[in-house]
Amino acid sequence: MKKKVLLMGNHDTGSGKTSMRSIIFSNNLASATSRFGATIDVEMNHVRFLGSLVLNLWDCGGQETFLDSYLASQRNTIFRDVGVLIYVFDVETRDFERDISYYIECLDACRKNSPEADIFVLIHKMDLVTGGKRERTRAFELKKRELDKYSGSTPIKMFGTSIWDETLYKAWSRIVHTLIPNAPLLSSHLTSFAKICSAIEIVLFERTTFLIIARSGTSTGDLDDVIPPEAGPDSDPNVINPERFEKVSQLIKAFKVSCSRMQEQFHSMEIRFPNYTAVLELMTTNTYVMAIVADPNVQTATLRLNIRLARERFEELQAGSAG
Amino acid sequence: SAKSLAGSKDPHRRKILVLGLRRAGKTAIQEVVFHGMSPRDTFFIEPTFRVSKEDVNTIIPLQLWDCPGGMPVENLDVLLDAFSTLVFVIDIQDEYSHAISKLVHLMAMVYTVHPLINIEVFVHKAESMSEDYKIDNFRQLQERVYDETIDHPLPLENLQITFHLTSVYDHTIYEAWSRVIQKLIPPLAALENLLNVLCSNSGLSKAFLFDIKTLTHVAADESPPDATTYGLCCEYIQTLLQFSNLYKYPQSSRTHQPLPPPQLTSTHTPSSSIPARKGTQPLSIPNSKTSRPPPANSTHSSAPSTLSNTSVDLDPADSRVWSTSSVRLKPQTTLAYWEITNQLSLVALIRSETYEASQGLIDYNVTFFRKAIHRIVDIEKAKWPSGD
Ligand SMILES: Nc1nc2c(ncn2[C@@H]2O[C@H](COP(=O)(O)OP(=O)(O)OP(=O)(O)O)[C@@H](O)[C@H]2O)c(=O)[nH]1
Ligand SMILES: Nc1nc2c(ncn2[C@@H]2O[C@H](COP(=O)(O)OP(=O)(O)O)[C@@H](O)[C@H]2O)c(=O)[nH]1
Ligand SMILES: [Mg+2]
Repeated sequence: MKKKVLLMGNHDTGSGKTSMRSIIFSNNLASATSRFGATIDVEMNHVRFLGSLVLNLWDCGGQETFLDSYLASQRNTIFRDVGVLIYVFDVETRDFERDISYYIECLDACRKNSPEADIFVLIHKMDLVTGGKRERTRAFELKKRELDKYSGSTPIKMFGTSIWDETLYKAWSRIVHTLIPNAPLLSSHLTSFAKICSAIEIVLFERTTFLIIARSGTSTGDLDDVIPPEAGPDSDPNVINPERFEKVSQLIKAFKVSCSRMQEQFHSMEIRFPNYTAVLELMTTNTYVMAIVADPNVQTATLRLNIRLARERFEELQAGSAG
Repeated sequence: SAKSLAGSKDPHRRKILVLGLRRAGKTAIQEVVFHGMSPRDTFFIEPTFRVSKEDVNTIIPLQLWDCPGGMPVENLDVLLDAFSTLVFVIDIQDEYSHAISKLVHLMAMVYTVHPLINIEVFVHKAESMSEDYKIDNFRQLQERVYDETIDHPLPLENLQITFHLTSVYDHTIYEAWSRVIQKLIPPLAALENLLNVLCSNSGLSKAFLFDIKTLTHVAADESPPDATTYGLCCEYIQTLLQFSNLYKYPQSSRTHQPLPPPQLTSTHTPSSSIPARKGTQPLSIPNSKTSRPPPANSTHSSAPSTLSNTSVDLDPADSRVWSTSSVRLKPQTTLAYWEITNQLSLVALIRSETYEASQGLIDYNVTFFRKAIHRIVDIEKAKWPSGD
């Protein structure tokens, strides 16, 4: 299955589209992105995701001359057959009004040419907002409220992002999630698998991007459902980090890049902390699985064996998930 | 130098003086290594206006003196012979002749009062240069320092000076601090020896004993060091530390035992020799893939607690569950991690074949290694003034 993904945004200095794309899909480190030059016109990339899903990424250079031409002569080529539109704002933009006017036009063009498209807005470079988490939330809400005025009836999902932390993985996991039709089924299987393994939770990541595909829990497949930790009756729900999934994505992805500098590839990992055990292993050809276990009597070897035994079943399920 | 230190308040705390021109990166270096500041945030560090002294407890107690850029050492309220080490930071991206004359001037001052001081030159901010250009520059700078010391009326070339290429943006800054601190660790030979024995008995190809708070390595085995390996081990530890914060489930009661107070056994043991391994078996299990380790430790995680039951003295090294981890790389290497004390961790590279065939044996050997390290640390601690 092929999906066209448009990456847009307007700015003269670079809002970070190319940086994001290269970190998620090309194993670049955030620190390497300062070397990128401006994107000229449209750069097209085909990336394979979960084996059979092909994302056709259209990275659209953000200078005004380009935008003007996307909206005029190139209008039909650009906005036809769009699966997902990702519109990126620089949180530090000097002229939000002007950015918004381009946004409205692109939104309009996309809706007319591809009414089915999912639309995401990213308020990017959030790390530049000083004053901590509260200030960042405030800055984000301010921009969101302004943009919501123009969203019309179609729901538009907005995220604050930065290449320097896990928010990038959070947003992109939500984006690709819309492209995986049977994610709820995967989740329910992960939930039963977690029971078999005595695991607190089990998460499935896409192999190359390390984006989150699905996870165990009493969820409907929506990644944002909260699952209660099952660590015991007296455990404080606050001790479990709500951003843990995207943090793992970010951590392991960066560590994988470090490993490849040694002429070796990251393959699997196990950790035994005094209070929990984690195993990260290939599940299928295109996914990694992470199992978290609090019971100190569960051996990592047992977990690995269970994963091996579940492999075939998940291979089948996942083949269905990429359509 | 011991004599001149006798009068000072805390004679066991080795003092390190950090000097250099303005904006050379002195404060940034210390923030990144000793406080875990992210390199990007060093951009916002304010200039230093006053000398700041900070106690840092690695395997030995240190005190860092951060000075304002270009401050004349005459302004310090102590004599130069109070310091074990002088770290001099030079910005490689800047025009450095002024820094070099400063350095040589300092060397001349030091020569008369404290010729045994370790002089450590950090040639800093090297990350943005190409590899060849960086090495050329580094060599040139060293030659210029050397030329000026030769021309100097005093025999400055007799001073102990070491150059390090550093940057806060990669592991080189941790490597440099490791080298600086290692020179001050009295039982370094004993630590290295333990690592060598462990490597040869367990088939490890490289092992580092890390101070996890600072990411410096306290000691390494004798196999030739290699920058990529060390950098990867640093990132492995950083990854584990961040990972450990994600799930804060309460510890199960079985593993939740308070650490008994350290046993201060023989305060008379000379620090340079390996402490007696009374009551423990030495690390002398032959390294053969087919031989099985003596205790039944197929469930390797329970090995420490099994041992504490049989052991005569309740060693603090046995009384809790220590974190372990391993990462399998392809094609052939495994990275392995063992928590050794609350502050020290062992990270090793092993051929995956060896690791898979003898994981139990290796874990078993590590428990002895851990005991030996606990002894050394306790003996060192006993020498610190109480209250440290
Ligand atoms: N501080 C900060 N800088 C970022 C972030 N993302 C990207 N940048 C920087 O912003 C600059 C521009 O990023 P690019 O990825 O080239 O932007 P772009 O959207 O492709 O720009 P065009 O080529 O004009 O399309 C680079 O120097 C990046 O390092 C972020 O999250 N925070
Ligand atoms: N490029 C680069 N800049 C660095 C490095 N270390 C520090 N800096 C920068 O150098 C500047 C001065 O650093 P600071 O620690 O305040 O220097 P000080 O005046 O000597 O104390 C800051 O902007 C730091 O971000 C480095 O390794 N590379
Ligand atoms: Mg300073």
